[in-house]
Formats: sequence, structure tokens, C-alpha cells
Amino acid sequence: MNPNDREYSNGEITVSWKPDECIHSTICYKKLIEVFNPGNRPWVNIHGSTTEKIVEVVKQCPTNALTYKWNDESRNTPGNFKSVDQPVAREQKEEALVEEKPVRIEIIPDGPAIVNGNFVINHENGIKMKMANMVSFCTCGKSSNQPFCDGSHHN
Amino acid sequence: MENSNQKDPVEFKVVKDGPLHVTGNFVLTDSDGNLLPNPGEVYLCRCGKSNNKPFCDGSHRVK
Repeated sequence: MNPNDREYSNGEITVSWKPDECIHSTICYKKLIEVFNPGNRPWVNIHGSTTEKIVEVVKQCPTNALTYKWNDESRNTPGNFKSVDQPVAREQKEEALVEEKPVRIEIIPDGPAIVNGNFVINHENGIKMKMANMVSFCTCGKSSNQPFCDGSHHN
Repeated sequence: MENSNQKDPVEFKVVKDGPLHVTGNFVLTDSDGNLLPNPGEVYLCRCGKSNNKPFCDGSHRVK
């Protein structure tokens, strides 16, 4: 486990946070600021909303930065939890994104440009960088992970 | 020979110390999902200095 990873439990579910996986899609805090508030420390207030709402938003996280499991292990049936140990979660997510056409570029004020769809990223010198379904491009120049966002615009 | 715009893969070309050159079949939206005018080919600012965000206006060259 990465030392920066965190777990938050409300007694019913445990939400896991893996900052290295985060691409700053902003979906979590735009949908449920009561729980996911980047301005707070800790930034996750697991008691800020209902289990049902938290599960709904964690499922929408496009990566495995946010995952959840039921504390009652018997409820962790396929499709009823989201875990990095269950790669199907990510594959399903990517398939869903591939179907989304045309490619959508979402401009976040004072934040990144979030891209969804089927696209390629190349360097001007012709080097093919990657094919992807979702990335966040840095638009502030501060990221240490250029050309991608690393959240540095908050600093 | 595939030359139709629909089939062209969207390409993000990273210009060194410059903008992000985007071509292909894409749409631009704001953070609420509203569509923004899309000229079909855009240069997105990557340095934060542009006065015409999200588009590049060449300000990255200003020291």
C-alpha cells in the first residue's frame, strides 16, 4: 500500500483513496462536496452523506483513485463493489467511455481540460505518446507531470 | 483511404513550450456540459498566460 493511500469507513462501507491514480476529473467533488472536499483535511468526510450517494459517486470516478467495499464481506458480490483487485471495474468504465463520441473536451475554469473519448496524444516531433480514453491536460503550466494535470493548479 | 472528418481520430499534439494542438471530431464544453463554439481545430493554452482561454494567444512566448 502506498503511504499516501487512505481509507475511510462509515461502518457500512470503506472508501479507499489512492492519490497516485487520480486524474483530477473533479467528478467526485462536483457531485458530492459534502463528502469529497479538496479544501478540507482530511478531504473525505465519510459521514457527510448517505452510503447510497457515496457509492454512486465513487462508481463515477473514472479511475481507481476512489474505490469502495462493503464492510460486510458477503455483500461484495461482482458489480456491487469497486476495487483495484477487480480489474473488471476499470474495463467496464473504459468500454463505456469508448462508446462516447465524439471526443469531448471539458474546460474546467482554473483547472484542467478533461478529455473523454477515443483519441491519441502525440508530441510535435512525431513521437507517439499514448492512446487513451480519459486524461486531464494541464492548462496552467504548473504541473510536474506535463502535459497532464497533477493538481498543482490548486497551489 | 479514410479521409472523412468523422473517421479521423482525434489527435492532441503537444507543442514543446507551446499549446496543445487538437484536430479531429471533438466537442468543447464548459464545466456544466454546455457546448462551446468549436472552430474544428483548436490550440489550447498550456501555460496559463493566455488572455483568450482556453485558447492559446501566443502569450507563452512573453518572458
